[in-house]
Amino acid sequence: MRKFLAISFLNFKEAVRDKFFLGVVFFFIFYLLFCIFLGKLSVGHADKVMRDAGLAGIELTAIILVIFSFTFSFFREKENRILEVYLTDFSPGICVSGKIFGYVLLCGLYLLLSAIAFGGLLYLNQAFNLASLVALYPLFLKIVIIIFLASLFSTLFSSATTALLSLLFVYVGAELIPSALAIVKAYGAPVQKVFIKFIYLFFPNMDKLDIKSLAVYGKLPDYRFFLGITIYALVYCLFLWLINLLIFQKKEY
Amino acid sequence: MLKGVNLKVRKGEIYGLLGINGAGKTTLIRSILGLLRIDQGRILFKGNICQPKDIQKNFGFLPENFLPPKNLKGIEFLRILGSGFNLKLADIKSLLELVGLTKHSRKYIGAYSRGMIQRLGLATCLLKDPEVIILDEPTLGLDPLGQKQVLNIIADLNRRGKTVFFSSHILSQVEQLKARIAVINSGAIAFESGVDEILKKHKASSLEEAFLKEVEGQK
Repeated sequence: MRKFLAISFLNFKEAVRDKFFLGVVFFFIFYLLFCIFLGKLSVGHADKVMRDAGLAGIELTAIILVIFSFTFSFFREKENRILEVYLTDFSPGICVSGKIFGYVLLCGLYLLLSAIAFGGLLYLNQAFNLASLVALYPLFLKIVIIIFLASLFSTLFSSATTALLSLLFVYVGAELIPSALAIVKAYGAPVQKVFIKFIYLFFPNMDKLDIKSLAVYGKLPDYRFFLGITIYALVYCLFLWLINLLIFQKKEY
Repeated sequence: MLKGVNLKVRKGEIYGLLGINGAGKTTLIRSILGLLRIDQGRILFKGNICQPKDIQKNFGFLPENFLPPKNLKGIEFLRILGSGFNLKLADIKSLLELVGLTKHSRKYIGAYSRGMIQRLGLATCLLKDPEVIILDEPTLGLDPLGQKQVLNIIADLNRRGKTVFFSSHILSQVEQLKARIAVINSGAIAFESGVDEILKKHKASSLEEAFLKEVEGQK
């Protein structure tokens, strides 16, 4: 456990001090100012627009943060030969899991900071509702899945560009696949329906981890929903982690 | 590719692996550490097949061109990694003293010179107090002062009972460390013995001359 925590904390500290993290934080601050501006433009719906834009901004920046930060960090470790030192000192399982957990902590910190800033903004503009902050929990699960995917693709591919592009492709695909499913359900041939349904089941179900549209109106699903998505995210991450570990152990560094 | 490599490193000795660029030094080291899989043969540690757990417990490794995270301070890097081995701050401070980095421990690694990074790498190797230290080109890219500092640390570690296995193509260093040597060429061990033996074998006046005769004789 000590070794796992050492690798996690090393990755967390390195990522927090990275210029990319600071860049994303500053970008988010400017984005919040933009949300105020959007609210001023939407007379009568200022509170809803601010909540919606704010949540979308948190999601976008958090996803960009983990995708780029994780992938670059993984390949930097390989290039700087530090991964070899870790693998001499620790087991592959600890190296992979520690790095992932370090980035889960980073994601948690970012969401906490953005929740404080976002909550403060809503409060100052009389637009605060608790549901908007609760909506960050499914978002956290979504980003945790992306971290596991980033680790898998970084392990699988020997180039950072390929890993990044594959990850972006899977993320965009996972976000769009529910729409594709709706289209083929209405107009598609049976083969198309089966094919799209298979991809939908295989890709992470990002639509299930998105309650922004409810939260903006101050509504929340009941506790069974939260329990369900937590179990789903855990099982999906476990599946990704097992494949990741298998590939990591087979690869040579 | 390595062919028919057969080496025996004795406990407590300094063993130098010599070879020109591309001879297979790094490949051999990575194979020993289990970072590369071997198709044939076996690696023994204390008479038993070397397992990953043996390496994780008993081997410290400093790779060529090692570069720890630049945005951490030297002491932070060692403290965090050291926490994995249950090391206290006092242990880290004594390691920093051993490698001569006490004054620079609170600087960011990004501000370290190449020599300081190598010494930090040596301290990283020593975190788990390993029996065997494996160094891949430990003085590569260092100025004469940096080389001297690193070589002094290696000699000091050996005096403290550590077995040191290092690769190099800087022959004067091997003579300075009074290491037993193996010459690797095109993935095969061409010669294994002491410096005096290779000098006698080639009737050479310097290790450099003997090494070149050995390598060229193989071609």
